[in-house]
Amino acid sequence: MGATVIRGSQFYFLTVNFCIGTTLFVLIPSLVQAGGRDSWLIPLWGGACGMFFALLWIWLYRLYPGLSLAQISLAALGRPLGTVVATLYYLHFSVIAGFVLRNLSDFLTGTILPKTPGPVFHIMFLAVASYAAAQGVETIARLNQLLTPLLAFPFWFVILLATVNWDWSRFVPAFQPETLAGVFRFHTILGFPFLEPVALLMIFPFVDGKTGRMLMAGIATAAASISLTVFAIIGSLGVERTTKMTFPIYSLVQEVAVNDVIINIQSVISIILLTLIFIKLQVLYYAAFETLRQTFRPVMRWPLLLGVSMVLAGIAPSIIENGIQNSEWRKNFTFAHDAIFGLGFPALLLAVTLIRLAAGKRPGAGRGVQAGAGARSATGKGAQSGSGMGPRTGG
Amino acid sequence: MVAFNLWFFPVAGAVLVYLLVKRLPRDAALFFALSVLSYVLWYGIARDQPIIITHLIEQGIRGILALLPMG
Repeated sequence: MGATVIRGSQFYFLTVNFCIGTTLFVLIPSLVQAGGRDSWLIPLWGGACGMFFALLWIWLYRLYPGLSLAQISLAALGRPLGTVVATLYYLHFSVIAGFVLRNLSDFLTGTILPKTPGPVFHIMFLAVASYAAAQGVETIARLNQLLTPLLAFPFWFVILLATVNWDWSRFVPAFQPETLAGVFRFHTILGFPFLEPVALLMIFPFVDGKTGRMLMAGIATAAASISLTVFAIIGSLGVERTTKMTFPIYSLVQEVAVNDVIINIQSVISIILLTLIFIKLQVLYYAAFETLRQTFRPVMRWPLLLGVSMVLAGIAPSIIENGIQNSEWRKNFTFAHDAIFGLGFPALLLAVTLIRLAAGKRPGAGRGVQAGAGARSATGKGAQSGSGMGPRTGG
Repeated sequence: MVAFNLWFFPVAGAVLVYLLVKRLPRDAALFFALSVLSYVLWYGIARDQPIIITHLIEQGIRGILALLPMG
């Protein structure tokens, strides 16, 4: 097994913040449009499905204890095919990271800094993310653990303050058949955010036990948090207003003013949301970087960090055309795209492994044996590519 | 466009030459692949006609669905 460097609780917070990440920014208007007054139910059933998907990943990981997703691909499929799958995963993580960066710059240019070009934000955030990735997963997990209380308490406090305009009548009539149909038709939630935590499989080998339980708990907590936030937004703003806003959570808080003393608290929510997004970006950056490093085993790390950053800086402005195309994409393709990488490839890897086990072969034996390259360098120091632990596969 | 080429080639070229001088062909090949990918993306951005990645993925998904019996 890989060196244990992060605790279960740290992994739990990482999962929660990764799932919440950009969701509160991007998804709420389309979520409320689909589910109307009952849209707070969507994250709950989405989260339940997300926990079900996570069982697949946990099963796969238990067959290859101590190996990350890239290493599992190499061990299960052999070097040529495994390299193809790992490279596709690198592209997938890069595409999600591109979305995250683009959402971030769209928010900043749309609210706080309208005259700053998007690539400026992309490059600045990528510089910090690459530094964190170079330091390793332990740094990312500790930073996240440190930030979580600083994010959670102000966030819920601000949301609580924003409920001054609360009106229960905004929820009635509840549970109408047509709105419930809309709730369960909204399959985007399955892809984004609940199929994206497949990226966390790159961190699995470094977690100190209870990995599966923490992943499940993290997804459940994130689903409950998103649901509660949507509930607060509907109760305070109503369905009509929410669907017409680009960033309802920001607008909700913007309207809060307590006796001319507590004003402009939207800056608090901006910082919280930016930090959440940054945590997601960090994990995705780390996943993309480590996928390439463990697959191709370069000797030096900084050229790879530079290359990954250059690609991500190029993906972010190119990922979507505009907001309308983005919402069309989310509605029609998000689930299909995320399902290929969140369900399709893990199911393929699992099927190959089970067939090999049934045939009496130890999965990974003699194929992709170098897959474990440098996995112990989770702290980012002293990476000895190609000389890491050998994969202990076969569950 | 000239400005883009002026900053891109010195940066990517210097790193590539450094890796080759250090006799790290694997590192150089990986960096070269990433540089080509980023050049393609940045070339579109510099010309103000970015390659929209979601359109490409969309076409790929449609292609896969067309191959399936239910597609």
